[in-house]
Amino acid sequence: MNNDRSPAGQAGVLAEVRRALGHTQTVRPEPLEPFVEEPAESRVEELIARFTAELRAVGGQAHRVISEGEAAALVARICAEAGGGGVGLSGSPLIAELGLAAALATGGLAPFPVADFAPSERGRLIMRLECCGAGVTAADYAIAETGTLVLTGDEEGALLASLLPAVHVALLRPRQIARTLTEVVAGLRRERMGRAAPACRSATFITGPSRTSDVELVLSIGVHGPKQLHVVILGE
Amino acid sequence: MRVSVFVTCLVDQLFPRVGEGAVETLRRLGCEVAFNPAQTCCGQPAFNTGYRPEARAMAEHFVEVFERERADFLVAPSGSCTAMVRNFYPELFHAHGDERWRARLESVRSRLREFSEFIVRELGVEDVGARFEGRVTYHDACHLLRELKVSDEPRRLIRAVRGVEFVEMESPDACCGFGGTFSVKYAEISDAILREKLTRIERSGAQYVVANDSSCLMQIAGGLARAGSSVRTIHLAELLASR
Amino acid sequence: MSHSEPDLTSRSHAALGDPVLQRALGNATATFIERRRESVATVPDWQALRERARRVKEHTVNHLDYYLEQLVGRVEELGGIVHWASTGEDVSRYVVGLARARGVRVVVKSKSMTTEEIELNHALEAEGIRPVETDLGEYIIQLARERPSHIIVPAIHKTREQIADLFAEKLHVGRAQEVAEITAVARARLRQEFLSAGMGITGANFAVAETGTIVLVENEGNIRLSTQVPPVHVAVVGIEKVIPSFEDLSVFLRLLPRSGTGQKQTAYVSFLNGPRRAAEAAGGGAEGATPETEFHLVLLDNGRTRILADEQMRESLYCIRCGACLNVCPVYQKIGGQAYGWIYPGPIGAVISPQLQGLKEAGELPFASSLCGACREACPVAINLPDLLLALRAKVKEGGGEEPGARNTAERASMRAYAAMAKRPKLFAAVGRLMRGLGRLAEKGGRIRRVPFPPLSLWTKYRDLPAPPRGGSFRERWKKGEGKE
Repeated sequence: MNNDRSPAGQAGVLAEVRRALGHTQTVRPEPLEPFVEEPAESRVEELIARFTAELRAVGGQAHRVISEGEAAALVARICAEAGGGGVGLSGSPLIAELGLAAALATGGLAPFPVADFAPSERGRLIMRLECCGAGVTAADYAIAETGTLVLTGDEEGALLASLLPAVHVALLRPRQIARTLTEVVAGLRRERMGRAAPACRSATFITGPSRTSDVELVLSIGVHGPKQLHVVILGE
Repeated sequence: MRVSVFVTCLVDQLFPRVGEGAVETLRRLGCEVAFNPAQTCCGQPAFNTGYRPEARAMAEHFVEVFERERADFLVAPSGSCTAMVRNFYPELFHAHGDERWRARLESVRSRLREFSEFIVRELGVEDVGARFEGRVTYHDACHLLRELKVSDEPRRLIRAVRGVEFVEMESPDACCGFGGTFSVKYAEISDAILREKLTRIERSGAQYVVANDSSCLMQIAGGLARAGSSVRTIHLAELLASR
Repeated sequence: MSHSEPDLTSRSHAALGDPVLQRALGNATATFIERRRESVATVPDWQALRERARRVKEHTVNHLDYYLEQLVGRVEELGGIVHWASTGEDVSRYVVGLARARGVRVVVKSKSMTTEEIELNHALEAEGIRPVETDLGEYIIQLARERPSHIIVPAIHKTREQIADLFAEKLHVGRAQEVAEITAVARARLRQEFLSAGMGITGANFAVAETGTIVLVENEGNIRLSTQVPPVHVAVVGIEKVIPSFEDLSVFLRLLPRSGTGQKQTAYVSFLNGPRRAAEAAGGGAEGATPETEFHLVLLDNGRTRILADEQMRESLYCIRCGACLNVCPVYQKIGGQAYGWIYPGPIGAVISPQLQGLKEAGELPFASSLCGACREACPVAINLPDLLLALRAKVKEGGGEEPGARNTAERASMRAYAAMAKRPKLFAAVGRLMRGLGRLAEKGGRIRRVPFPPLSLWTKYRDLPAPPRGGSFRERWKKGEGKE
């Protein structure tokens, strides 16, 4: 379908907008001055502590490990507890570094890389992930003040692997944790959403497991998205 | 300090003791108090119901009456009427050609104060030497609170009254449900809102409800009486005039 | 737009007489108020954020033509398809046409007030396409064939027992005992729908002009599923949702969750840049990646340009649909959302419904307010709701579509009379004296319990009136010297 440039379409609404504003033509306005806020300085340990506390407050589970071996063992344990059906692994290099595929396979957990599915096989990938007990991804950023993970479309298959299985395990390095939303928004803008950047990817903020209070304002965890969110903070 | 009092039509006609309490209190604090009998109504009922031409006519009369007053301040025992003049009159005189009116209005607006605002912020007084025995709670009238930003001053004045035991009710800033003609146009809703207020008053254990607006007090008193409650309403001006 | 009852008074009466609804409303609004208060307290300078947000909205709305053009240009560069819709019918025609062309039988929908405003589901159903609401609250009211009672929690007026009965009846499942069971039933049922749907339809919370990004906030995950699984995504977005730059999101994404649900952040925020693209090979960078799915942005006017044309009313368009004004409104707290008769309830509903639907249809809404101002205080973009309500009242009285009738004629006549009296102090005093005399006839034991004719009969139906003062009015007593010590 082509874009609607017909008189009844764009000319219609946009013309009405101009008329309403008394503009004979569209003119580029002076942009607003930037909104300046005090940048916050935080040490890494503070950020980890804050992120952990906020994540737990919204029902997520935070784990701190130092070595890669510990990380692999922990992820394997979480996935085992998540039940059978397989584990979907996103294309993050960190997952390869940790040797997670091998670690999970050893535990009989049937891991598979999401990258195994070609783009044209998306429907099959979705069905496969539907059967999985867990999905494992990394993250691109995290926000300490709200316990938020940020996944972007750069990480292959991360968005689906973090959405369809009932358990989502995310790997995070301390240096990825920013203190505020403002910092992350600026980072995303700079690195992914600007004109100069590569063609945009989508991004998703994840703050705890899926939830609703639609019935009598009673909190229910795990509606359409994952019921459990585990964040494994790896390293110093 | 010379003060001219804007009693408001409701106080003038239905609650004269409120006006007298205000005058007495102001005199006790050393003010010379005048009253211009040419005053009638600020026009709020018309404005709030959407009748701007009528409200404008009443506003013009108001300006004509009060610009003549040679007083340092104009004082009103009503937050909503004070807000009407200070915050809403400019909308009635915003047209081209209203420049002269705006200047005349400014001389009136700039001198107008609500009663508690005047005593605390202009006279710098919190203890007016009053005495009143009873457990008292305070209702924040909406326009006083949100249009004039007055909430601390009345409380300080009440606490300074000898013999008063002051108790805060839950959500003292919750609307009483009056809202002018809303109270009859949507009487059932107005009453439902009022009942929430009455429940909170009862739970506070107060014997008296104080407010700075006779309209709110009329609504609250009307509900208390209908419910057969022994709780009484009293305007701040009456409370401060008590000895 | 069908109402169950013809006017606000009768709909309110039904609401006020419903104890289940009253309890639900009281609980929900009080809870949201408390959660909002707690989460706002975690922001060091909430007022600064509000002021900035208002400033951004004001700037955007005043240059809406520029920012819409910029948004459209970016979305198209990203491979999205843009459709401009003047009316709801334009949207329905486009969406139905697209669905037909793609062979879509089932559409999954996330909560979108804009699509409810234009009754899109109706149009789809009429063409044999099945729209499935996926937000749990919306799913419930879709099954029940009801209107939402709250912007954020649309089914709050229903108890868990009522919902369990509804599911048992409509979904042919066993009757759930717990809330968790209800949720599990919805999860399982709707998962099947997500997996088989040919199209996902959402609204948008924000549309960033600078980058062409559509931003959607949610807690359940149904928006992520609706936009990630089906091959076609359509976002129906009011033209007022656009914001200038990506960085503005750092302000709005702090204001919206706290104002709406009292959360510091919702479970998910999706930032969508055009259609989904095939994953790239190891090199990264997606230049040249072909879209594997379709993204359609439908920009809706439906009367918003009319609001835009009125310089005073223009700030109605700043609204970010958070629902904060509902929770603090003493009227909404008592009557709930359905009593407002249309899609948008509460103070913002009383402001935009008359403008979108017309004064004839919704002109009584602005009068159903005590003008307490709590809404303005709660609004994250500091919309001056009470002033807008007053402006609408004036428009109605200036011949904006009110029913001519005895009550309105009498009201106008008495206002005129009152204004005339107010300019004549002696007449004012005399009439006052007369009214007080009449009042004494109705007085019994210090109160007036009943006045037999309107409008005061409406007052005395519920409350007493004060007895007229003995001893005269203030001015009479002053004149007599009683005030002249």
